Amino acid sequence: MSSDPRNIRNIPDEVTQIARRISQHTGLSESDVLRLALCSGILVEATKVTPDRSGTFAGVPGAYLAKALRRHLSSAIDFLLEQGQHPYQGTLGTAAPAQISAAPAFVPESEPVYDTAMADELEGMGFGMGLSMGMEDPVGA
Amino acid sequence: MQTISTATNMSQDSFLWKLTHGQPLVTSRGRDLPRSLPFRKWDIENRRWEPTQALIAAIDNGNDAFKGAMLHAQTPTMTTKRIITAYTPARKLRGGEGVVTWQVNDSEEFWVGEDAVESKKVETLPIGMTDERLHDPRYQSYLAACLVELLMASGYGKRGNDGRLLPEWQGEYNLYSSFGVPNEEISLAGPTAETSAALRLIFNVPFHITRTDERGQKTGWLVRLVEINPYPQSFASFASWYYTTDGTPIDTRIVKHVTIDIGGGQTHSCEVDLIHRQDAPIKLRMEAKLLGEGTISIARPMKDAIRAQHKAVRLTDSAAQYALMTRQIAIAGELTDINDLVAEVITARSKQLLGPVLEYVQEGQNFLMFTGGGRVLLEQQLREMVAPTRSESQYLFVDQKLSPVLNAIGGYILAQATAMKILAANASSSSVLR
Repeated sequence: MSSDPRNIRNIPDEVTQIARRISQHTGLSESDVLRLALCSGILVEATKVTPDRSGTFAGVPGAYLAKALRRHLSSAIDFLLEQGQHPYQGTLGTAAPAQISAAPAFVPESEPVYDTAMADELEGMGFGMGLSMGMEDPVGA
Repeated sequence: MQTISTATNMSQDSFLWKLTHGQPLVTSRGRDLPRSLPFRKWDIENRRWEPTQALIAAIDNGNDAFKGAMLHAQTPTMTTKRIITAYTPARKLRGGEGVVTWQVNDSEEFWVGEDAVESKKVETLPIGMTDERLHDPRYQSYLAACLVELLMASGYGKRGNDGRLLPEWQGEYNLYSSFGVPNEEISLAGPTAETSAALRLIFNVPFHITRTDERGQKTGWLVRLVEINPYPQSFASFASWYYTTDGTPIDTRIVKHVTIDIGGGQTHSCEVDLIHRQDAPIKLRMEAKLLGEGTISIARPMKDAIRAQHKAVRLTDSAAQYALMTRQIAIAGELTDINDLVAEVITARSKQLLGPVLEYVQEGQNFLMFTGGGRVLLEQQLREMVAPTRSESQYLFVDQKLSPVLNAIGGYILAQATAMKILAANASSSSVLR
């Protein structure tokens, strides 16, 4: 663990107030609350960056990041669902009754399935033939 | 299951329905659509291919405007960007708010889009076929700038707490792209030799881009088109109507779908026969026709009408198209409404533009879909054409906000289809290795 101090500026007052309330409620020190927030917040921030050449997010492999995030976000997701604010509420099958019948069931899968029928159909029509096909030395470059 | 809505004639499973109704773009199983795929880029220095993770993007290279589309980096929504085809060398400003200024590789500093039009010194970029346009280095620089705008709008780039881009190097972005070209440049055998040769001018070329924002803060980007899939512009709109987010066709009983695409430069029809077969998937047969000029045929007479009234006002084609859209021009330094003049010119010229469309309206066996920027401008005239002979279930006016960019959105769907094929191949080879 790094011990060198980090001076974080420009934290909005409202955030400090919330941290203080959590501290009073949980008995944790304010520093502990802010440290926990930083740990979970940094994982969320890592999901926002473009994957680098090796496919990692700020150096963290996607599968590892997903597992780590799940622990931090599960309470937040529960809360959003409870409050009806989850952005994919419809697709998660917890929408209003009228929407439920039309909403697709959410099926967690270990691996995505890619349907190639559309690409095959387009190829038959003369589309989808990229310039890199059969090109060993790009002319433009 | 028949899922075509009688009110709008869109399947609720289609991309177009989800976009029109602001629904998240996820698969029927609730999965995110792929934003990127493992691909390869050309290392120009070492003259070899290198692996890279490429972002999926679509470029609709319209004569009147660049239209781009890609999924947002964080949300399951489609980001689109429309930038008027306008370019002008940057000028030194001595005061007031700055103008977003671009430099690509060793180019001069320049402005694009509305900033260029508003400078009143706009230069005309080449219009026409792909190989008439891409040879112009100014056009290539303009295109690179547009790609950065698309990336930024899609949530890419390094940002501070206030959401603004940090004034620093933003990184390398390799794009797996589909590229909209005029319909006549593609046949069953693929793109024409001229089109392919023209596209190679920008294929895998590293564009080093410096963007200076209104506050003078500079950001640096490296953008490369590591794949370019040419596609016929008008077919893409059909794709958004016909395909679901799973990449499968909608369930429909329609047998002939005609897209009337009224663009800035040209008006096209795209007829697709949906050949229903017993116990087999529907087969598609596509034919596209150039019907005539697009909204430029209204913008030019409007330019002349403005000149007749105000002798000193000389608009370029792109400035006239912009004025047609905003219905305002600067006269003696003052922004002036030209609503009446625009309405007059539309009344006088729309019949000429829409003449070739009438035969499709009168042909009673097809389903019509109106799209393109001109569909918004000429909605009243188009509705007057279809109302006497058709019920609402026999045609579709694409949503006003989507219309001008639908060919780019469809392009994204096409790019995603080919990307999925690569991902599927990768997935099957990696499962063999396990």
